[in-house]
Amino acid sequence: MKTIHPLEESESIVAVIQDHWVVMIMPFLLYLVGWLLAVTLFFLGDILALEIAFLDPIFKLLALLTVLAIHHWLFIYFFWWEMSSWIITTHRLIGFRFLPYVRHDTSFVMIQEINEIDKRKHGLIQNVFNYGTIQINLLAGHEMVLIEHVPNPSRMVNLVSALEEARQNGTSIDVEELRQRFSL
Amino acid sequence: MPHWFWIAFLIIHLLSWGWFFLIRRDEKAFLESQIWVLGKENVSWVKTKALRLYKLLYSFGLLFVTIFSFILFFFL
Repeated sequence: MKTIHPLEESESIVAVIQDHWVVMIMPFLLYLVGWLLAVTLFFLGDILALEIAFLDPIFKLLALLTVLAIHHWLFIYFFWWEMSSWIITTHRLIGFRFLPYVRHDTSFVMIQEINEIDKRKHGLIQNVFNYGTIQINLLAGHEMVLIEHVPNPSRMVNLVSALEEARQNGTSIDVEELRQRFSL
Repeated sequence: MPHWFWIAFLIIHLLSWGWFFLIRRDEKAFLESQIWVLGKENVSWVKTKALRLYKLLYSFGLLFVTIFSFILFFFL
């Protein structure tokens, strides 16, 4: 059984891959819609108060609740986006997935265990914004690892392939040279 | 505004700030597990400037909503 262990002395971080910023568009649009809903509820309370007075404070509270809920919701997404990443080291890929109180995942893939690595960019949006999915097939069994919303997936595939090749040939890895070569 | 409104207002804000501190605690716990894997010398890879900015915006945004909503409803 393999367990996650701290970085070895000979292991260095080459790059950090975060989800593409496109994934934050939807939460941000919904945040704006939430604000619109809150403002509507606020003024709806005023209008309804002309007929039924006690509705005004209820609608004001609903507007406040909406603003607070969307504020928390947006920043939960920001934390998820910033703290969920794949870290490429000279020996392995380490994946962190975080969603407050929902998900605390840490996983890893050893570079020497990679059998096949492919990239997929489906659809207009993925091709325009240059992001996609990386599929890693492992040597052991039929295990498969999917990394989604990877910005510039070709670069990541080439980087991992270069690391894999260097490990197979037993050549030393110059991290700075790699970073320069892949503009990281 | 009636009394029950201010009681509900207070409860909502207390719950909101409580949730904020719970999120911060969970974020710290996850950050510690990341640092354990990557080592203290690589802390800058996960404890980024952007993360600090989000935390700052989160707390200031919440503070703004609390103060602004109080002033707005108090003088309404």
